[in-house]
Amino acid sequence: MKNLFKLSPTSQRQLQRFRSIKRGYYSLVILAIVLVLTIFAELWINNRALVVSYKGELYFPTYSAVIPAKTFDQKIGTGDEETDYRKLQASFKENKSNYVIMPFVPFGKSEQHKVKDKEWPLAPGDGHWLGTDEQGRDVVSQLVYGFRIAFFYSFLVLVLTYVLGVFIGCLMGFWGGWFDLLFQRVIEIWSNIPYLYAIMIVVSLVGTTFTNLVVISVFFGWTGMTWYMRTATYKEKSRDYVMAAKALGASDMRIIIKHIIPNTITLIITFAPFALAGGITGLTALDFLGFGISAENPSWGDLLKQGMDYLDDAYWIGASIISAMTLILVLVTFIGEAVREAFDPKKHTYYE
Amino acid sequence: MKKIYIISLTTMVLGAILSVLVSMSIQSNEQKNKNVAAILTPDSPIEEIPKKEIPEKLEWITNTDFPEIGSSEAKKGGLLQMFMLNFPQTFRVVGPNSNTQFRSYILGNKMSLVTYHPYTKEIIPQLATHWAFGADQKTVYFKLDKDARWSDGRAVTAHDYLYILKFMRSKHINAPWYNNYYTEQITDISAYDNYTISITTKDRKPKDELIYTLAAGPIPAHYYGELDENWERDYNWAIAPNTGPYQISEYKKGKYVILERKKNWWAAKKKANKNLYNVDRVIYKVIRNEAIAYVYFKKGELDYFPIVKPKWWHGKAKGPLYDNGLVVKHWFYITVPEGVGGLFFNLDHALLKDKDIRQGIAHSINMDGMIADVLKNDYLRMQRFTEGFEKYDFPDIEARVFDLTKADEFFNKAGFDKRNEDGVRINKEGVKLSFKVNFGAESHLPRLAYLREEAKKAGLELVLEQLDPVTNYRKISTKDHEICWVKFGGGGLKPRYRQFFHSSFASKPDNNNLCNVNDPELDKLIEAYREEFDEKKSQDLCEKIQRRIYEICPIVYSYSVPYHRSAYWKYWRFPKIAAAKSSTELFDPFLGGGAFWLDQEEKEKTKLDKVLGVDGEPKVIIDKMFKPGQKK
Repeated sequence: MKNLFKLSPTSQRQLQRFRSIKRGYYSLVILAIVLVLTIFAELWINNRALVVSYKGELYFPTYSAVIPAKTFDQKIGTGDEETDYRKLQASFKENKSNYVIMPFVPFGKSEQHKVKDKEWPLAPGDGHWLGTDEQGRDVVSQLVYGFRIAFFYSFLVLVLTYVLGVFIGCLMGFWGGWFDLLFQRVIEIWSNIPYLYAIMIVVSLVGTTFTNLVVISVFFGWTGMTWYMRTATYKEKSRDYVMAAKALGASDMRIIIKHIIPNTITLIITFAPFALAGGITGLTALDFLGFGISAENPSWGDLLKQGMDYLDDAYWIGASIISAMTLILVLVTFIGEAVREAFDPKKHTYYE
Repeated sequence: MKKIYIISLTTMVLGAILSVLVSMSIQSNEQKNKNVAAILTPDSPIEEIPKKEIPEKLEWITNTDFPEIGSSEAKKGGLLQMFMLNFPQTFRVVGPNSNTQFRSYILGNKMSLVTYHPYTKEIIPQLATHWAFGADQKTVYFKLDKDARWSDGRAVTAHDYLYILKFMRSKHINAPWYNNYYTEQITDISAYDNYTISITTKDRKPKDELIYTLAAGPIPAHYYGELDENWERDYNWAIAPNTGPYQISEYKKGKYVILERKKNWWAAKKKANKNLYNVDRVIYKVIRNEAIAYVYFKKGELDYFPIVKPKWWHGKAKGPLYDNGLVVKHWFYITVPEGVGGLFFNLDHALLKDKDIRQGIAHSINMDGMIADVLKNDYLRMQRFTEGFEKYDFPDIEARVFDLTKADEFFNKAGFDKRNEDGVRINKEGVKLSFKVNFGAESHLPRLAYLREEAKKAGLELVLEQLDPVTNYRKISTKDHEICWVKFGGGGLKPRYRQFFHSSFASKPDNNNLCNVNDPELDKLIEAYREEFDEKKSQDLCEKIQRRIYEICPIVYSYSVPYHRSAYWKYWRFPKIAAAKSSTELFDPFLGGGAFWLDQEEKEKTKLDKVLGVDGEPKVIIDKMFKPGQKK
């Protein structure tokens, strides 16, 4: 087990160097915290209570099945519908034995909060720190849940495009010859298709679900990494260690996976943060144009569009989303810069 | 190296040849345009049509006893400044690219044989003085007004009506719909002398509908003459003679069009036009963006700005101009046949064919709440399948309302009496009560999201599926939807049911029976209604159909928008009744509108007020005279 976590001296040095670049390091820490928080967003942004104590029994509605209102003798509708925990909390005020603990932000991601005699979008107040959007949904919840979707979309696209791009790029560089020539032409053509346009057209045909969008984005986006990997592989191929591996009878796949990719990992890692940021902005752009996954989900693009629509009337929408985007993109860029610097081959070049 | 020289030389030569060809074709185009000269000049003698006997004895009808439309206080003069988002691609009104916003302004100056009184809706004379109905219920006879003149001075005669068929049936106008309509539907136009004609349609129709179909406007025969294959191109920017109060006097492509009031308009003295069409000139400026147009309006470079949408009326139309009453906000209710809109169930769906489920859903849709919260209570709930047909409206048929108890009853009856862990109803087999809702307009998402959230309370899951409009249309027209969100256009004299509900259209693609309604009882009623020419019986049948539709419950009705809302500068004046009962905007300067006028003194004063500042009261007019009867 110990060996698994033991890094090579080079990697250790690179990590040390990264840690010493404070700006990037702290950005990574902040982003990691944000990510963990968004993964468990249901626990702190939700219209379902964390804990309800009613008649001596404890309930934990966050991740459980829907608890109908009649369980708590709440009188709304027919009683079969979901409990309104905010109202429940208010009604328990007098009765000390029953209590409700609500999350930090007591609004759900798709909940439309009605306030008497007020029109959507609600200005900050009424429990909404950043107000609501035009559908009465809490802007904080939209930001957090929207970020979660955008981040995971971007991450998935990144991983899949990298696996495909790195693999094909390596093969092109390693095999060369007609395979290289053929794929060069294919990729030239492929990368000339306007990315966002192509996605929009296909999405409008097949419908906008998360999986569809990921698959389509990968389908049109895998070419980016191939050029770099091809060149890097050509370079590595002529090194002695590849020759040695070949002489020992290693298969092509083994050489690529065990020898070439680990030696070009720097390249892959330094591009990753920027690709991640690109993915987030890409999805936001798609949502903004109405081709994203906005119909059912909170989304940054949708917020951005509302921000533009309500520029003079509801500044809080535009201000929140633009600040959030700037913050995340700045963090990612800082990390990316730090990674690039830490992995700079000019600082640690070792020939084997 | 030599190769390169050869290649570049060849390219240059080819390029030169190509450019010569292109320039030649442009030249020949210009020459063609110059050739567009009237076949007959306005002054050439009018051929006499040999007198023919009218084959039947007719009872000639006219109408001179109708209330005056305009106000006696109206003053002539001034300029009305309007905007349009695009410059028209052509001034033709038929043929390719002619379906533009500007087309309606050209047609606004094309008179018909008869027209409707804007307030009372009775038939009043326009180009015809008298009319009579043929015994076959297909033909209407008209006596033409001998005073009628084209804008070039030539008399309007039977020739111009006979020419309609020749023109509209011509392949050269490149308008298949018109070709077909004037062959299949309008089967004949005949002349009995220079000023008496008859027009015949294919199907028998009740009188009001017949005259509505047949009161066409003439086409200037002397101007177009024989058509040829170049017609479409040659007449792109031709300003055809018209019969109405205004004519295009000046235009600059991409910038503006000016229409000027005719000095000696032939119909100016007629009763129906008294005190109407008051402004001297109307300018349509091309402003490609609404927000920018609004800035023009605030500067006084536009006289009027439409603020129909809640976002405008409640939101952006605010500020000192409004607070001081320099700009008036005017909300004008209208009565027009409203196109049906709402959630359409596909009755072929395994669950949706159950009436209890349909009714349960209808009671789980909080349309009123949505109208209140999302649409700021501006729209009215649509109560039944057809609204706004005054004689064919039945206010006691009301839409089902959001009612969780009733929804619960119906769903339980249909077997969906349990809920799963997401709170969605399931039946014994474990099937979820969940439906896909298709829609095409992205801006409707907030409306549907609201309905979805409210439906959750009833244990009904709606999965919203937003498609781009074309895909959505295809999906709906192939009946591939579960529930779709649709709004039809309105219009017509009588409600039409066959296309929406007759079983001959059910479960077949490309028709309006989106719900796949297949009900023998309804079929019978619809067929009887179609054959009925008596108004009273027709109304009875119509009511029965409406009640049957209510029982079947194929649609959850959405909303109607029976009004227009405008902001305009305070120097505009209106008669007591500001606009027509079925008007589409307050400032319609042409036929059917044109009752407003400009107060010059007030305009000068307003200019000063704007500079010096004024303390006035805000002016908001809410005009409910033509508000459709809604039972509360």
